[in-house]
Order: sequence, then C-alpha cells, then structure tokens
Amino acid sequence: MKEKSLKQQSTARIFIRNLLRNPSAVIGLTIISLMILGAIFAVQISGADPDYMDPISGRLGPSLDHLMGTDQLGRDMLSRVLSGGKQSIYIGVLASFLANLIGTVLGATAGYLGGKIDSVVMRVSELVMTFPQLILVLIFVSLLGQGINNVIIVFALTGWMTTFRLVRGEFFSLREESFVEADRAFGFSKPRIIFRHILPNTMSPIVVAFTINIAIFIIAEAGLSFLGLGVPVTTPTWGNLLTAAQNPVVIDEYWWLWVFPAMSIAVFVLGVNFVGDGLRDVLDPRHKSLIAKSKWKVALVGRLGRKK
Amino acid sequence: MVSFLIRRVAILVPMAFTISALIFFASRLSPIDPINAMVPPDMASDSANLEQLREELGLNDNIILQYFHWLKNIATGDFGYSLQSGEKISDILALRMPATLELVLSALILSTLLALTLGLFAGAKKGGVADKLSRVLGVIGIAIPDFFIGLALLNVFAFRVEWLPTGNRVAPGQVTLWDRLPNLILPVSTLTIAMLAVLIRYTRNSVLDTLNRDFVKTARSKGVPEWRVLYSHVFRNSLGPVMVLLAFRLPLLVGGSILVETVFQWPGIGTTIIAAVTASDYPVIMVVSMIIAMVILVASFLVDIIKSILDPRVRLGGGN
Amino acid sequence: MRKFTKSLGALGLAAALAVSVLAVPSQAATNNSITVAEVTAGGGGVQTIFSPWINSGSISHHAMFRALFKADANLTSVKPDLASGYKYSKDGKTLTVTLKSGIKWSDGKDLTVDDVVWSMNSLLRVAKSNAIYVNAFKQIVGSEAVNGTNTTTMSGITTKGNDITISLKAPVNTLIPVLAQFMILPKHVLANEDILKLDTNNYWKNPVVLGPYKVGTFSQGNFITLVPNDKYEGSKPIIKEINIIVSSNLVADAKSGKLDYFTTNDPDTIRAMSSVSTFKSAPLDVLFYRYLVINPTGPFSNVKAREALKYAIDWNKLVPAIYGQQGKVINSGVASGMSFHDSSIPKYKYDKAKAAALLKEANFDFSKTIRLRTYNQSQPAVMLILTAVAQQLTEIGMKVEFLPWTGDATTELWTNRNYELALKGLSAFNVGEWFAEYSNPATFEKLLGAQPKYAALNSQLIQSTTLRDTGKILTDLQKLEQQDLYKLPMHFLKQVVFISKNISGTPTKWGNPLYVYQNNIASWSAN
Repeated sequence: MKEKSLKQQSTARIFIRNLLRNPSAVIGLTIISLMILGAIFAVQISGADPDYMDPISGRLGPSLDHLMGTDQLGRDMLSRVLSGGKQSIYIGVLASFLANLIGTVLGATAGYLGGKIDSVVMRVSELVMTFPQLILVLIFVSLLGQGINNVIIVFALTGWMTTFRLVRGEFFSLREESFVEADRAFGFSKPRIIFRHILPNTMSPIVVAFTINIAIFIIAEAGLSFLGLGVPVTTPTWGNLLTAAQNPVVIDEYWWLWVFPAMSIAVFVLGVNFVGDGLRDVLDPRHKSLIAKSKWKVALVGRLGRKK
Repeated sequence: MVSFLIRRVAILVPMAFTISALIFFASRLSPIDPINAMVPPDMASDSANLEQLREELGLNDNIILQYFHWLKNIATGDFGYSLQSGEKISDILALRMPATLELVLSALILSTLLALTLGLFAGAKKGGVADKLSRVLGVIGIAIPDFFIGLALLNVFAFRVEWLPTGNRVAPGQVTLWDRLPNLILPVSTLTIAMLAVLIRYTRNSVLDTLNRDFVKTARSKGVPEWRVLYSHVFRNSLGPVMVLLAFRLPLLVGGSILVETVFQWPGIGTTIIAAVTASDYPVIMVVSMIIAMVILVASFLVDIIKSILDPRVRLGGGN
Repeated sequence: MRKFTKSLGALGLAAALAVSVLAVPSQAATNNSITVAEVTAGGGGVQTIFSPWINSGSISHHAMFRALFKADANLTSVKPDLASGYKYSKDGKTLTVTLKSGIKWSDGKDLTVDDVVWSMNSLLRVAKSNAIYVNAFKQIVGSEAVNGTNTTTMSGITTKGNDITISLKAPVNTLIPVLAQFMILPKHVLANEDILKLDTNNYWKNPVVLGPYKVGTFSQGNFITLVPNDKYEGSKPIIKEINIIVSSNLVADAKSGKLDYFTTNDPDTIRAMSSVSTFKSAPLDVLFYRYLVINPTGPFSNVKAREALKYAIDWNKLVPAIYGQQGKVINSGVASGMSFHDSSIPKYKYDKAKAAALLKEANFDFSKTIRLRTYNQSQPAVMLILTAVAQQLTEIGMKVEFLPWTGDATTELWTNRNYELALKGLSAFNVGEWFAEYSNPATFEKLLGAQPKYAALNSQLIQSTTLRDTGKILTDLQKLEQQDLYKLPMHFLKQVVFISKNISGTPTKWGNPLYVYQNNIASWSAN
C-alpha cells in the first residue's frame, strides 16, 4: 500500500517535472494562469466594475482612463474583457469535462464490448460528428432555450465524439492485451475490467482531448453568442462582448469593442493549445496515437502506390 | 465489393428514416403555434380566418399522419412553405443555394490548392519558408475564430481602404459571376484561411509519411530529379487522405458557413438557417436540416467507398 | 510543378487586385436611376413587394399604389386621389365616395367601383392585415358576415354609378384618414386567388398597379427595379428607374453612392451618417412607441411595484445615451407636448429611494427572478437599453434575467406569458391605437382579462366627432392608464429620412415613413 502511493507520487512528480521542462507547456500554462488571474481580479486590475454604467461617457476610444475604451453604455472595456474570461473559461472547462465524460464512457463500453452496441454508437457518433455542429447547436438551443447551463449541455451533447473515437480505439487494442485476458480469466465483472483496469491505461489521450476541447468550446461559445443565441447578454463573456460587431457601424468605427475580446479568445485558445501540445509530448512520448494513425495512412498510401 | 455496398446501403436507409423522424418530432415538441408565427395576433383580421388557415395547412391532422404526409411531400420535392415569408421553400433553396455554393466551392477549391502546394513544400523541406508559413497559418486557423478573421478583413479592406464591398451579393447592374467577384473576395478569403489550417497540417503529415516510403527512396536512389519525385511520387500518393478529408467537408456545400455568412450578410443557406431559427420558421429548419443530413449520409457513404478502395481491409470486415 | 503553382498564385493575386480596382463604385444618382434601400417581405433579400394592407409607407408603395384619398404629411387631412370627393350624412353614419373616371390600371383595364368594393371586402378575408383597417372596417354594416370562409360582401357597401355608399353602425372619425392609407387592389387580377394568403401571392412580384411607377425588373432575392407606368394619368415621373435593394451596410452604401434614399431609426447608423456630406437628413416625430408590458400576475401584481419602475431606472439618462436625439422619454400614451396630454401625470425621475419605498409598500418579492424579455433581438440599441434596465433593477435588489425570445414572440407575449417585463414597440397611426391595445381580445385581454372600461372609452373615442369630446375621452383614458400601469411607456423613437443631396423635388415636409402620404415621388429629380 505504502509502496503504491510512493510510486504514484513519484509518477506525478516526474509528470510535473517533465511538463515544466517542456517549453510549449510552460508558455501555455503562463498564458492561462495570467488570464485566469486577470478574470478573478478584473475589478482590482482595471479599477472599474464591469457592470458599472456611465452612459454619458460611452463609446470612448482607448485612453489612459480606459485602456480598452468604453462600450455604448459607458462600461469599462478592460474590466469587461478581463472578467469576460470568467464565464467563457468556466463554460469551456465544464463543457469539455462533460463531453469527455460522455465520450469516455461510451468509447470504453463500445470499444470493449464491440459488436452491435459498438456499431450503433459508432453510427450515432458519425452522424453527430459530420452534422455541422453549429446547426445542431442551434436546433438544441431553440428547443432548450438560452442560458449558461444549456450552452454547456448542448456543447457536451454535440462534442463528445473525438474523445469517444480515441478511447474506443485504445480499447480495441488494449482488450486483447494479456492483462485483460487475465482479468477475464479471474472472472472480474465487465464494468470492473473496463473502468478499473483498462481505463487508467488510456488516460493520456483523454487528458489531451480534454485540453483541446476547452479551446474548441470557448470558440464555439463566442460564435453562438455572436449570433445572439448563446449566454444571456447580461453576463459578460468574450462571445457576448463580440456581439457588438454585428453592427457594421461598430466594425467600422468602434473597433475596440470587438478587437480586444477577439484577441483575448485567440490568446487564451493559443495558450490552451500550447498546453495540449506539451501534454501530448509529456504523457505520450512515443506519440502512440499518431503512430496508429500513420499506420492507417501508410496502408492507404501503399495501396495507391501499388495501384499505379 | 458488392456485398460491402449492400451492407452500407442497408445501414443508410434506416438511418435516413430515423433522422427524418427525429427532425420532425423534435420540431413539433417546440411550444410554438405555427399559426401565430405566421400571423401575429395583432395582425390577425379574424379568428375564423386563422382557423381556416390552420385547416388549409393540415395542422389539425393527426401528428403521425402529418409525419408521413411530410415525408411523402419531401420525397416528391414538395418542401412546403416558409412561415416567415410564405414563399415556397424550394424557391428559397433555389435562391440561396447558389450563393452558398459559390462561396463554399470557391473556398474549398482555393484552400485545397493552397494547402496542397504549401503542404507539399512544407513536407519536402522541413524548416523552410513554406514550412514556417504553414505553421503560422496552422496557428491562426486554430486560435482565431473564423468570424474574427472576417471582421478584421472587413474592417481593413472594406472600411479602412475601401477596396472591396462588404456584402450585398447582387445589386442592379451586377448580375454575372464576374460582376460579383469583388463581393466574393472577402468572404471567400475568410473561409479559405479558416479551412486552410487543418488541410495544410494534413497534407504536410501525409507528405512526410510518403517521403519515408521505400518507393521514394528507390526513386531517389535511381537518380530521378527531385521535383519529379515530389510530383509524381509524393504528391499523388499523398492525395488519398486529403480526399477523405475533403469528402467530410462536402456537407458545407449545403449548410454553408453560418458565421462567415452572417459576418458578410451573405444571402446563403447559413443566413437562412439563422433567420429561420430566430423566427421559429420550423418548416424551413426541418427541410434544411433534412437535406443537410442526407448529404452527410451520402458523403459518409462516399468516404467509406473511397476508404474501401484505398484499403481492402475496411471492406473485408468491420476492420476498424 | 513549382513553377506552375507559382505562376498560378501570381495570376490569382493579379486577378484579385484588378477586381478590387474595378469594384470602386461610382454611380451617383441621375435622372436615369436612383437607388433606395427597403425592408421588404421575405427578409434577408428583396423577395417581393410588401402587401400594403400589412405595412405601407415604403418608396415602392408610394410609387405604385394608390388609395381613394391622399393624406398630407401629418396623415390627418386628405385630398382627393382616386376619389373626386366624399360626403357624410348628417348623423355621420353614411359616407358617400365618388370615384373619378378615366383612371386605368397598369395593364390597361379601367378602374371601377367594383375594385374598391372588392378591396374593402377582401381586407376582412385575409389572414394577415394591419389593425387600423380592420378596426375601421369592422364598423361597417354587415362586416361580421365576412371572413375567410363565409360571405364575401358586406351589406353596408353599395354602389351606384361612380358612387360608393358606406353605411356604418356608428360614426367612425378615423374612416377617412384610414381610407387614405388603404390601397385599392385590382379585382380583375386577384378575384380568383386565395385571398386568405394574399400577402404571399405571386401578385407582389409584378403587381398590376395605379401609381406612377410599376415593376420593371424583378430579380428574385436581389433587387427590384421600378419603371414609369405609362397608363398613369398624371404627369409623367421624371426619374426613369427606381432600384429597390436591401442594403447590408447603409452607411457604406450611402458613402459610396450606391444608395440615394433610406429611412432608419438605428442610432449607430444615424450617428455615422452625420459624417456623410452627400446626404441630407430629416428627423421625423412619429408615433412610434417603445414600452414595457408588465405582467400583472407575478411579483408586479401590486400597482405600487409597477409604479416603482418609473423611478428605479434612470430613463432620462439612458434613453438619450442610447438613442441620442432620436429617443424622447414619455410618461403617457399622450406624451407631453401633444394636445390633450394630462399634465398631472408625474414625470419620470431617477430616485432609487422612492423606488425602494414603493416596492416595500407593495411588499415586493425580491426572491423571485424577474424575467425581462424582448423580441427585437436584431436591434443592438434595444439589447443595450434593456441590458441597462436589467442592471439598474439589479442595483435595487431584484434578480433579473434578460433574454431575447427566439422565435414566435406573439405566442410568448399573449399565450405562454412567461415573463414579468417585456419590451414592445407600437407604430401607431393615431393615439387611439395606443389605448385600443388594452381592450384587444387577441392580445392584451389574454394577459389582463376583459377590459370593459377601456373598451367603452375606446369605442367612444372612435365615434367622437368634436375635439372637446376627444380631449375629454383621452384624459379619462390617461387617468385609467395611470391607475393600472399595465404598460410602462418608455420613449418615442424618431425615424430619420436620409436622402442624397442630388435629389430634388422632394416634399418640404416629410411624413411618417411607415405610412403613405403626398411625397410627390413622380416629381423627384436627380442631378
């Protein structure tokens, strides 16, 4: 028992050490932490409440008083951009977690059991994956209504397929491994084999997918809110701040109303992607999934080559 | 091969039915009375008139009956009428589809050409100019939402330097495709940049893979000129996976890109969907989603066929 | 390969540059053609001409359709148009209108009294039409027999020669102004069509008309070109072509000369237009109300709680901040400055303490979420002002959830009623329409229950023949309104007409662009 925890500790330590040695992970983590801190201390940093209105000094360009200018209601844009991260990041993280949960459970079950269940879930995932995501989201939103939680649910329901495919692929190869054969010989229950024994071996791609999904959902929230179908406008999110740009006059004359929120999204998403790259390097030095993919590709290419 | 095709078609048909039922009943779950969406009460002349309209539209029928009626109509090309404008949905599609096709097709072709060229050079010379450029484009494509690219292009090219028009696909005296080219440039560029990232990465990896193949090494050792190796060996052999990716993009041709169309107020299917969703114009939503779903089914069918031609193991048995 | 792709790329770049030079537009207005931007039926692109029985006032309506009378810019006094004159009986219950002879439709057929009678009867048979016509025509004897299915003629309308006689159940003081808005449509073209769905008929793509212009080119989804109607009996119009387009960017199109006329109430557009020197503008006081519908069944069941909204929100600061000169705060359906305004109604004043006191008096339940809703999602200014309202209500301790309705607002407003406060707009033909809303069984009565007091006063108002009576009734209605506060008036919204300085011959006084009046379209010229 003691031995095991020691071993775990040391794995964790090795992981963190490797991560901190990976330049892209460090850059990414720095960006993310700075932006999260900015979101938490938005009021202190900007010196203004994001909701405080001063209608008379609306639409002011960037100046020393308001580094990012003010919006049409005279609210300080710096404060709004900083605190806008709070909800955007929350949506991204929670939706990504839920989507990964769905994807993992379905992928593990389908991958281990195979057969009919697998092919049904596979068809469903194919369908959801190829259906233009935004249209699917629009249909859901028109049925469920707007709100932060609805947005999260919709994202989770429409974004689980990548993880599903990854996990399913891993399970396909792992279920034939000898330790699983041994489990079966011992007569362990299926859920136990799936979730206690095989799943821990597939954590790396899941963690990477989780990070990448955060970025994808933050961009999706921005798109949905830009169309006016996302989070209620009274909650500042990066996407909601961008809605101002629906008006051509704003695009033309009040650039600070949309450039800063859009830059925040870009920088944060970049940070998340850096972390994702770093995690991939650290967790999976052999690029297992990439190799699996390239095997398939090599097979395709080989065939083409022979044909001619 | 034949039995493989039959198996795929056997899956295709029940899926099409399931989707149609899902679309139909989901839209009927919504609490909106189509009559009210069509005629706001403060514009209703008389309640008897509304009752007659309800009857004419078949809204008093049994819902199962309505479903089969709808299916039959769709199958015979009768898509019904928009609640918002009262127009035939087939007319709306005929009007909006070319706009979307124009946009998406140009972007698809342009992005494929660019991605293939850049990807080939990037893969051929790692660390070279093309490689660096494609990395930058890759980062842009991942981190910057496509509509932000659109907004930025609008701000610079349409407002600052006023070189290009903002939207307005067709105006009087502007009828042919040539007339409309200036209107196309900004939205097509936006969509192209957005599509480019993934495509380039894909081609580059694919080229790298091919470069490691034995036949490339053999060709090189035989003294075949490098450009020939690249073109007739590497390039053509890297096309396969790219084709698969492109087949997955086909549904965009029907669905359009909602955000890019919205930014440029492009009168295509994407903006039609948005207008329909915000007005609860559910006959339009139903037909458009149905068509998109069908195109997707066909596209994934095509992908399967491409895969099976490229890799016989797929055909032989579930080989997932 | 490398060479090939390089040259291909260079070619593409060159082509793009060439095209962008070509695209620099320069097509100022000339007598040969002007371009106007309009919102038309179908949304998103010009589909068809809007049925004038639903909404009128656009340039295409001015140019193509005609009514029995032509209103002046105030919409109150009228001049003959298709009719040569009219005469009321002494009791005010019989109206005789005489039609001019020799007027022809654009297809060459004669205009007859049958067209007029058929149009009036048909209005009651369509599913969708503007309430001002319905409210007036329902006062005609026999109107109840006409609807989508039943009888197609009202017994109260008879003809003899060129005279049309209309018998009313009671006097209707708005009938003549309404008839000046009511466009006559051709019976010989439409009689066999599905009248119920007239607004979506193919007729609107190329209507047979009476006005100085008719449709020349109809490019589905893109634009419509109007050309002179050679059957028009008046003087020939000067401008040879009126292009009707949908503009996705009014300011840019106006700047670049792609546009010569449009109307708007969007404050950002208006602000940006002030820098466009080639245009002149005319701000118009119109009866365009913006107000909050208050659901009296929830937390706002006590009238004191509704009254608190007057003080809890800084209306006098917010409205000008968002709408500038276009917004005017109002505290009554008959706003201050209008005749018969009840000056005893207190003005809005930002006073949080007073609001809090009123809410306390009303025993307001702060734990309930106040659902603030709107259907004007596409208007940025509306979203802004309601965001500000939500913020200020939050500041006095309410929990507010502000969301736009996606979709069918009328079901939400009157049937589902899942809101406490909802923003509504009303483009009224006259003040009476503001009050008529309260007793409309299809709308407010669904929310409020039967409103016999309003109904009685409203029918008195429509029958009143003297200014004194009208004044008294309007005062009573305002008192009643203040007592109930079911609607909280927020502000009027001015419309602004923008027109290229190249165009002359336009009216000295513009009227409400949501209605039709004498705007001399046939004598506009461009240089």
